[in-house]
Amino acid sequence: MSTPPVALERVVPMGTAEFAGSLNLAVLTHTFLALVQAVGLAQLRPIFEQPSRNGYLPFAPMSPHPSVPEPPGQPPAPPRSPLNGHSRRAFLASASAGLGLLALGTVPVTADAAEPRFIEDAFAGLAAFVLPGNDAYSKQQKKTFPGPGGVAAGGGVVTRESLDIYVPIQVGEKILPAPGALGYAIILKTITLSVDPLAVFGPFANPFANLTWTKKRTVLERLEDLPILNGSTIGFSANALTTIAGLGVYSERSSFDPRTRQLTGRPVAWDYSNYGGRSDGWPEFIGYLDGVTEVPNP
Amino acid sequence: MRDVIIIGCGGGGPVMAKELAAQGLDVLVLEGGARFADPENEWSRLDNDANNPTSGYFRVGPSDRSKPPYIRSLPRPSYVWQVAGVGGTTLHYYANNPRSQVGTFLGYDGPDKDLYDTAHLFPFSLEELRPYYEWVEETLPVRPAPIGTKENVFFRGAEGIGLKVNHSKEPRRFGYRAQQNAILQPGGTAGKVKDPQYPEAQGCTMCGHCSQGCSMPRRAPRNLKAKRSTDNSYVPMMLTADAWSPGGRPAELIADAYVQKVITEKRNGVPTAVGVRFQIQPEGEHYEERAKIIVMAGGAVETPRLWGNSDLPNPNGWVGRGLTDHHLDWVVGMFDEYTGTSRGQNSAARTDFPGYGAIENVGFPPGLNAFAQTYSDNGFSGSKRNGSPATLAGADSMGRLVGDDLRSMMSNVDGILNCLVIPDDDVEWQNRAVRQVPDLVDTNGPIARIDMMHRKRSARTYNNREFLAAKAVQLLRAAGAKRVHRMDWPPLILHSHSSMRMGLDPSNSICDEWSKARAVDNLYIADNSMLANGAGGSNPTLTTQAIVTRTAERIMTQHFGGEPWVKGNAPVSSTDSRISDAMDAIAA
Repeated sequence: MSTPPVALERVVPMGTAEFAGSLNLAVLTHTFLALVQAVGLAQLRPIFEQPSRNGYLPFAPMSPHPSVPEPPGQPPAPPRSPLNGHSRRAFLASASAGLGLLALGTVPVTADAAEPRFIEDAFAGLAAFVLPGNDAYSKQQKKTFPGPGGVAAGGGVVTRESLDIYVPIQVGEKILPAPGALGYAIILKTITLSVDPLAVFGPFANPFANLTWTKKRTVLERLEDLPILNGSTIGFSANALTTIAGLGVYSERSSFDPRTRQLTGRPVAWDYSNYGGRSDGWPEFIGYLDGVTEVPNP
Repeated sequence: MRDVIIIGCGGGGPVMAKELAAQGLDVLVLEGGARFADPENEWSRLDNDANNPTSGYFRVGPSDRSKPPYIRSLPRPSYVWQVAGVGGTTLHYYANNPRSQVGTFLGYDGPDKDLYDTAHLFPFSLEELRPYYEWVEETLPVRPAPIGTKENVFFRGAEGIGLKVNHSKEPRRFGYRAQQNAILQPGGTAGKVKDPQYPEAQGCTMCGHCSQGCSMPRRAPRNLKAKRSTDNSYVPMMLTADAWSPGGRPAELIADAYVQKVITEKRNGVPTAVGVRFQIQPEGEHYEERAKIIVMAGGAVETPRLWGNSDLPNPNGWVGRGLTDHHLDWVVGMFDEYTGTSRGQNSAARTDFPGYGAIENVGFPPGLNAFAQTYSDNGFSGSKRNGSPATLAGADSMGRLVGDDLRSMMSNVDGILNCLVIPDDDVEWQNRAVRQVPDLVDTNGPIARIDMMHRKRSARTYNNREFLAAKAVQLLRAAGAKRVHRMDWPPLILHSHSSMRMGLDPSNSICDEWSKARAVDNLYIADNSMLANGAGGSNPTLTTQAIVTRTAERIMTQHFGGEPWVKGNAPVSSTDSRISDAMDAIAA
């Protein structure tokens, strides 16, 4: 049991606030150094340059994808993010081939309306890659399955949530939403453009989600091989990205209310894995090997 | 001034606390994570809610799950699968309690002695540790696991590749057996119905949720929950020591108390531990407390980190070095029959290959199965190989399963059978868990950095892994698998040990044969980090708990004038009704 430490000798923290603030800035700096090295400073500059609402780094939760319902129990959509107005600038800055085609006017621009979904589309595209279904992302990648897939299971949501909570940012006494999902959405986009520059043109705000399934695999293979990540503090995560999505697409997330931590129904993943579901017990007890219930000491 | 302060309430700390509290010492236990006092309601037993590595209730982080987890620097593809909280990593372990392989001990002279990591043996004989093994096995208690469908399928495969049953606690030849595990055997309606409740049901209900925390059977007293994670066994004992031990004194436990520094002072020119500084998490007050003896038990990652952050001496450079993780791998077979993989105990069967390691079966709900099947150092199955030296080892395919392949394999979670490959791996200088250099810090100080040179393991480690992977493939085929797939995992640091290893040689060990830190007086280590080696591929918890029991006796006799109590005596079982009654009184 947890006992309040009132009986213990209290010591005065030595510069705790300054200590914590400066140290977390170090985490921030280190992490973004890794991201900048990975994707190139030009990719991040448009984001950093924009003043934020609160005077700190301009990251905030993204609004949910209007065409992909959040699982029941999701909190209301937050206000439009400062990033939303700049994701287009960010990808235009990097998509030179795309710009060329735009200048020629030969390719219709369809991404504008989808820009607020830059992050969500990246990870929904990943969920569809891990487990195709009958959703729009699976259709776009030209690999589908006649039934619910990873998107419906909440695989993209799990991946985004996992990445966002992992990298904390604290500036002074302010704790800001973490940019882990944003960082990887940018990385996915950047590698995507090296694989297929035409992917900027498609129904989804993040070019990764516009790729075919095979090209998505190529992007993820290149991500895994990205030399700058291997050796950085977040070197583990390039390999783990698909794995977190794997957990998500077979998890309970589609029918989980994070506020009550209760199920709101039977998760779709339990159906397509033929899972009997959570139970207090099962009639699985057969007996003991050779009837041995106790092994003597040597 | 306390008698003893124990840093960490995981697999080892509560053992130390229970033994010393039973002797009447004033013991304080500080745990950096949560205390789960009401597991029936706190644990949803859902894959993502429980086991998500960043936000699940079984993560390494403060109890407030809106806060980020504790950050570690993992510069290479890897994942450290630990749990912070009262119970530590035993909260999600399968409670497998094999003894360390016989060849890992000093003095072993069997014909296969050269197969082991002979440069890093335990600094005592198996005969020396045996009484402490027996003591822990009776306290938890440890017994043969009950058999379900997936164990029957596994044993069929083991027979099919020519292995014979071997019920021994100390196997000296290849063979198979039920796990010696610390899960109360099913009684009454347990294992026979879907809705068992205490007292009609006692022991394991075969619910399949060992990895999400054991709160079954419902309504059972805390110390009669089936799985003997320390929160269900040693923690209740340490908190109620006065109820079951004459002269005992309850230990005090503070959760969410992160120790940031071990305080030392020079005595006769020798650094001597005198206290600790800790902070209530995540941003609470700082406190300082002093004791005659300090015990570090934060685990194989946090103990070397704290050592570094406390500026304790590192005269031979081995602090954090020599980390072993069993170089785990995963092989899965697909069957046309019901295997019951999502039901029953998560792992109740094993094969032993002394000198090489072991293979055990593992069952999961679908989310963790998919997690295991999408984690690979070998690229995507059917695509490029990604440079890994691992071979197919006879499997049909290798690498991450995604798309149609994943859907096919996972189309019936109770139609697959998993084999966890657990090689005996070498202690190697290159593999480490240390304080981050240059300093990258969180509010608890410089964070830990883990380096596991996965593709540069010793030849013996690599060969052991290939040998066992091939055996696992053969076993699954012999059991009737229609398709066998090898994952070739990157480091999944689930069994982590020997980063603060004990040894006879002061030039390559941190602790002496009593788990006492060589460089600091009055400081002991009581977690997996002090293990001398990888235990021959045996799951480490039992060996750690046995050594900690031996160390507790040493502390009592050397520092507090006590007498030994283990040899020749029988312990009180953690299921004793006096503990149940006392826990009820505390809860009230």
